[in-house]
Amino acid sequence: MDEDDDSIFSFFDSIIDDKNEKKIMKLILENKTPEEIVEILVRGV
Amino acid sequence: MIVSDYKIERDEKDEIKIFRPFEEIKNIDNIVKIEGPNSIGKSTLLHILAYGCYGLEQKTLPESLQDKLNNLFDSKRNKITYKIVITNQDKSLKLTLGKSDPKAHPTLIEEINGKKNALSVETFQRKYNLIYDIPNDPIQRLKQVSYEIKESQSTYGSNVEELKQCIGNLIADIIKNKSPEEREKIKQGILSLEKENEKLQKVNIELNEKHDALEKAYALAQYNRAAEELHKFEAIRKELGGQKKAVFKKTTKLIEYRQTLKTMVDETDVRFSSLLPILKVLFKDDADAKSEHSKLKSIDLNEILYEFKIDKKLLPILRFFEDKLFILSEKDKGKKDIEYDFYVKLADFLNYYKNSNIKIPGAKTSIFEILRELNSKIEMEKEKNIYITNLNTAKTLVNQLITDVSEIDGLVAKMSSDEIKDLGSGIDESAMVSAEKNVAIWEKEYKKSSVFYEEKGKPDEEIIAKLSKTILRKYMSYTPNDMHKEIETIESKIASNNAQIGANEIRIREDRNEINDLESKKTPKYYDKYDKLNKWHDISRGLETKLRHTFQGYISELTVPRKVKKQFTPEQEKYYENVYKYIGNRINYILYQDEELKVIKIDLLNKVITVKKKGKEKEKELTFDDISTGQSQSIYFRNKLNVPKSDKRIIIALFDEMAMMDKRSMQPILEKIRSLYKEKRLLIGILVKFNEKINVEGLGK
Repeated sequence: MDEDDDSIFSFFDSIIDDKNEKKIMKLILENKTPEEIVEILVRGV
Repeated sequence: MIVSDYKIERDEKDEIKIFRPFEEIKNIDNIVKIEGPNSIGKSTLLHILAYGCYGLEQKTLPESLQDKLNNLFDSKRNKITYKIVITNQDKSLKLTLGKSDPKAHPTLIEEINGKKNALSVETFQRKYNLIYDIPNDPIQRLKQVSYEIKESQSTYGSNVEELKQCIGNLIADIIKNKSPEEREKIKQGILSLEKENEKLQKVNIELNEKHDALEKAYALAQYNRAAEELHKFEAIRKELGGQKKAVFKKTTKLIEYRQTLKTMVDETDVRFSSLLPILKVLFKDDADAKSEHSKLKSIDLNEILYEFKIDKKLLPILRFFEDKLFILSEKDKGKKDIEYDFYVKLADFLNYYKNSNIKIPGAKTSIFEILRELNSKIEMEKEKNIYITNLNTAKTLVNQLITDVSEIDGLVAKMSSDEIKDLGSGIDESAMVSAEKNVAIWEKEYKKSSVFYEEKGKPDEEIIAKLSKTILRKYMSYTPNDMHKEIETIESKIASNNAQIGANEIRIREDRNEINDLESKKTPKYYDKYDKLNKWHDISRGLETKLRHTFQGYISELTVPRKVKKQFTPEQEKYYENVYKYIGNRINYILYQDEELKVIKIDLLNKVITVKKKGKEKEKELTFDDISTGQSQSIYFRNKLNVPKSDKRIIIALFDEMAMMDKRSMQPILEKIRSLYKEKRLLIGILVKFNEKINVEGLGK
């Protein structure tokens, strides 16, 4: 993650408190599709 | 490479002026700094590029630039045609912006690896990020970052919603699919319904058996009863009918008797009436006879017709006068005038010859004269003769009346016999009506039973007798009516059971279809992760709410101009602190009094920039006014170019009026542009700056 992305990630990471919500936000910022995100969230892959 | 050409025909009222681009800017690098004096077409090139890239459709385009584009493309004043071809570094992408006729709509053709595609506004905005700006009041316009944040929150909020929907669909699939336990439950339900139906069918078989037996028993009982009752009432009817006939017969005889009696009484009364005056004359000087006569006169013979008996006084009085008349006749016997007879007979004889001239020998007078003499003699003897006549008549009448009385008495005696006496007293009309009615009722019942027999055959009494010991035992004491009620109850039970069986069958069919359907489908994805899906569904819903509502509300507050400071909630304060840090992070550093300072945060509400000197821990606060215009512009443009990598759109950056920036302020922008171009995230980057001399400098080297 470069400086810019780190910056936007840091921003959302800072305004969101819940660790699970942070997890979702991180995956979205990584441009993962909903299906990929579900796979990661549910199976932990 | 950017190859551009345009023609502007400007109507200045006194003349039409034609503007064309300077040769220096017709072919330029993709990333380029254009410097030059006014009116060489630097800004016009940017305007046309922005216009061609649907800049007027972009919400974030600064208002001042919107005005400039609108003025330039005001068709009343300017007739513009243009063609600009932009090619990327490896020539895999080509954009052709064109307007061949001043009245035509602009066209934007994208060509990727030789494949052309006309881009609509929406498609262009989805694929390209047009950043066109001039640094007017740049620090103040940092507030625009809040719009970007708002947009980001909205975009990511939509992404989270998509995720939520994706999880929701997976959950729905699992719910539809039903768990093995639920499937088993449905299967058990089917078995249970099948068992219930089996039971109900069995019950119905028994009920049908009972119904048939009871129906036969009822029919037999009803038939027997009908037959018995019919027989009974027919007998009653017959008997009453017989009585009726007898009464009719008797009535006929009585009528005959009455007629005879009347005739007899009438005849007697004639004689009686004739006798009374004669007796009165004959016994006018006899006191006893007169007394008896008076009694006789008081007797009304017609009473016999009503009383059916003769006045007891009548016969003795008649006997009395019979005796009296006998005495009288004995007394006057021989007194009868032979001469009178002779005269009468002679007169009758002579009367025949009265008109003849025959002369009776020895007589001196004619027959006529003799007749006259004779009639005179007869008249003289007549009175004497009336008495005798009366006496004889009276005798005859009395004798006759005595006979009459005897005959009447005999007839009355007959009429008073037992046979006649019972007339009219032996028949009960209401009993007759009742009998008729009952016969009709039982005839109907009897017919009904007969119909049943015709349809189903006459029930076998032996079989009924056997059934009465088993299935019909309970009902043998029942009346036919009770049996009939019981039959109706059983029929109702059978119908109700059949309805239940039908409903169960429908349910079984539906459940079976559902099970077959479920078993033919694949097990849904994450079937065993149902709980986890639900958990993440809830979390994504919470996050979506924050991004699309809570944080959107917070960020909107930043853009509202306020004279009085507003009190925010701790959550909001925390949020703004992070926004300020984020903006500071994006700017990264600023030049202040020839010193590079690390930007910690930029407080948009209080217009304070928190910075830190290199190697120092202590933070420093600067107000927006402390920052030079050139630095402000630098900060602003750097912020504009700091597009998150997650934004995959190709950047087209056009920055105008950068004259206030010195080399140091410009440097970070140039570096950013080169970096983005190298990463192929930027298609073109044009920086326009005033200078007395024309200088077009490619930035790629």
